[in-house]
Amino acid sequence: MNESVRMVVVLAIIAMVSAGILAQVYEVTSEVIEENAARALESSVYEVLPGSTAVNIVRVSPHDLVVDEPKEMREKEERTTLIYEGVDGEQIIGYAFVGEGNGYGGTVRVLVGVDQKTDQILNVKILDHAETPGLGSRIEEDGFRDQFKGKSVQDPLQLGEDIDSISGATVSSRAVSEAVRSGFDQASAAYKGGN
Amino acid sequence: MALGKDFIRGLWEENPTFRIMIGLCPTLAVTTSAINGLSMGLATSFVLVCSSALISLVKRLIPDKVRIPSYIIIIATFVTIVDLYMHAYLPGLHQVLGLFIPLIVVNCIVLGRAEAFASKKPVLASALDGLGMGLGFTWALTLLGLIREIFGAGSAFGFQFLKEGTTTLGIMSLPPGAFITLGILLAVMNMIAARQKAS
Amino acid sequence: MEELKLIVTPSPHIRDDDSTQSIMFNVLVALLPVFAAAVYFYRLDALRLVILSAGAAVATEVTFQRVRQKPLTIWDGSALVTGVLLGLIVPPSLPSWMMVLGSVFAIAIGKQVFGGLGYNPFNPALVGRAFLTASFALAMTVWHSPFDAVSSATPLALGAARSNIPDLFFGSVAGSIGETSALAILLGGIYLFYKGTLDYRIPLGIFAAVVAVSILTGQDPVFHLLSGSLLFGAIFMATDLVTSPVTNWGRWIFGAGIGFIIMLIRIWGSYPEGVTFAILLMNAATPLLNRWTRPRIYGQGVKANE
Repeated sequence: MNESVRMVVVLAIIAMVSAGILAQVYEVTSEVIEENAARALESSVYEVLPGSTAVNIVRVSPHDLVVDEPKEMREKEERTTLIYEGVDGEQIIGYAFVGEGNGYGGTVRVLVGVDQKTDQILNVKILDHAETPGLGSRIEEDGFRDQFKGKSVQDPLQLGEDIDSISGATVSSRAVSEAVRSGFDQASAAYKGGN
Repeated sequence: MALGKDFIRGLWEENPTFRIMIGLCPTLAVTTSAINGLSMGLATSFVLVCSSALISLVKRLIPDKVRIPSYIIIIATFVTIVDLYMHAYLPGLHQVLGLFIPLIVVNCIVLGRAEAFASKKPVLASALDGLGMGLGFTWALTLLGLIREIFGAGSAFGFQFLKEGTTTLGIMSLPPGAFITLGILLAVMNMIAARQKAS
Repeated sequence: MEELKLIVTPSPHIRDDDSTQSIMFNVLVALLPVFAAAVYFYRLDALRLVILSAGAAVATEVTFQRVRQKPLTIWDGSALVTGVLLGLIVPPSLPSWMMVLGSVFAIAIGKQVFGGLGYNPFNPALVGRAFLTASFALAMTVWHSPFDAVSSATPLALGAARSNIPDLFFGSVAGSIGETSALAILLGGIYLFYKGTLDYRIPLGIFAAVVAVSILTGQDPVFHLLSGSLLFGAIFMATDLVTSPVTNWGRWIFGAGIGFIIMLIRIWGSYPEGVTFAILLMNAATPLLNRWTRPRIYGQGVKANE
């Protein structure tokens, strides 16, 4: 067969074999990957909602429309707020949400646990950050995170007002307070509205 | 034995990091700790051995003009396999190494050895060459990672020997520290090599 | 017997050791007012830091050159000057061991690995400071007001509205131990200028760019000129003969570039102060500036038909 045809055939065969093998590997591993992701988030939820033994994922959308268009459905997905409900048997401990804020080195993601009865923050956990080691990374310290405990959605949650920033790490500190505050409004409304 | 030579070469004489100085991007980026360096090195070694062996096996079947795309697909397949397995069974490590696992595809070492060696030599020799280069890369990364971890985080292989909160040399955890450490290591390796040549 | 080497190089020709020594001596004399001000404001800390830094710098150079079996060059005074300069640009409460480490790094990595004096692309004292800032971010950003050890913020962090110009001029503000007294620095600068060691083009270029950008962005130019490391950097750091351009035009551009970058970092960057990085960045541009502003030799570069 002539050269061009041969090139196409060889590449096609290689590509198909590769795709086939990868499809198999993907099947085998995707379950495990999903499980891991769920479990990782779960353990974080247990940290911010102490006493919980199980986590329910509650998806709350701003409007519960019947959607026909796939495009509308995708938009609905994006505007959906994900709430993690921590339960112990029948008793609901509280709900947790993920908040995001702009830090010095990128997005800072936090997981905030809120008490179901008092509507106050139980704990805050830093999920992801790319802040400066030794300076901005100190947002992970207990001393800083404890400030958020007991706050409710009415509190300002602003640097200089009810939250003290870490000296030398104003941007990182602000990222956290922003993440908590913006996520709180949304999640609180969603949880109360949805339930 | 000639085959033995193919393996040993990559460990020191033609060490990819310290002598040929290729594949430096992951070297500088992921060596924030010894375990990270070790894992990256082992993942790359796996890809090197498999891709070099397979390429050597099918080298006569691939027309010369589509050589590079074919090699890349083969390499990318192995890298994706590594990526998926790490994601499933070593999720912590996978998250830390992040983007650099897929980047193994364009690691100069892998494509370089495929071109320079596997495309011309027999299968066993290619596999051994890949293994040697991979292990050479691995110990280089582990060493760099270990140094950066000791000075930057006060731990070694995850074992924290300095009390939490002690002041460490922050720069070592950052890219500049990687560059400077690599530079110093290169100077040391050059000195050793010069002394070897003299004797 | 030593081989007679005939070396042919284009101008400018580099001077020999004696001249380096006299330049370094002048710089040290010029630093006396600054040092005196530092001791006045920060007492024991000033003494501790400067002496440790200078000592470590000289010791590092000796050690490095001994190990590499090269002739000792500490007698030219450049290591001593680097050490003193580094000691003056750190916060007063910096732990001694960090000071020593910074000084060792400045000389070993900032100067010696490149081949010693004349080969370093970056100002060694600033290399040391950048190393310290990146390594010990917390210790390098803790300031306290002069005389007592009450921690406070620097004028740049507080902003122009909350700073007092006379304080900035005489030096009773928080900052690195040698940088706070504008008066002392200017005295040193005048001395260096009078001695012919200081080319006015670099500092003036810096000041001009800083004033221009301040006015354009509605900030107080006097505040910017007097605060932070600007004056110290302009007079003692940017003017380092090895790492700044050789030509007149080159020097103007160098100074302007530094001033511009300083303002860029101060206004829009995440750091309150930008002098260290501005100078280091322009140091990198020095070879390029030297090439671009090379004086045309009369008669060269003219085509046959013109």
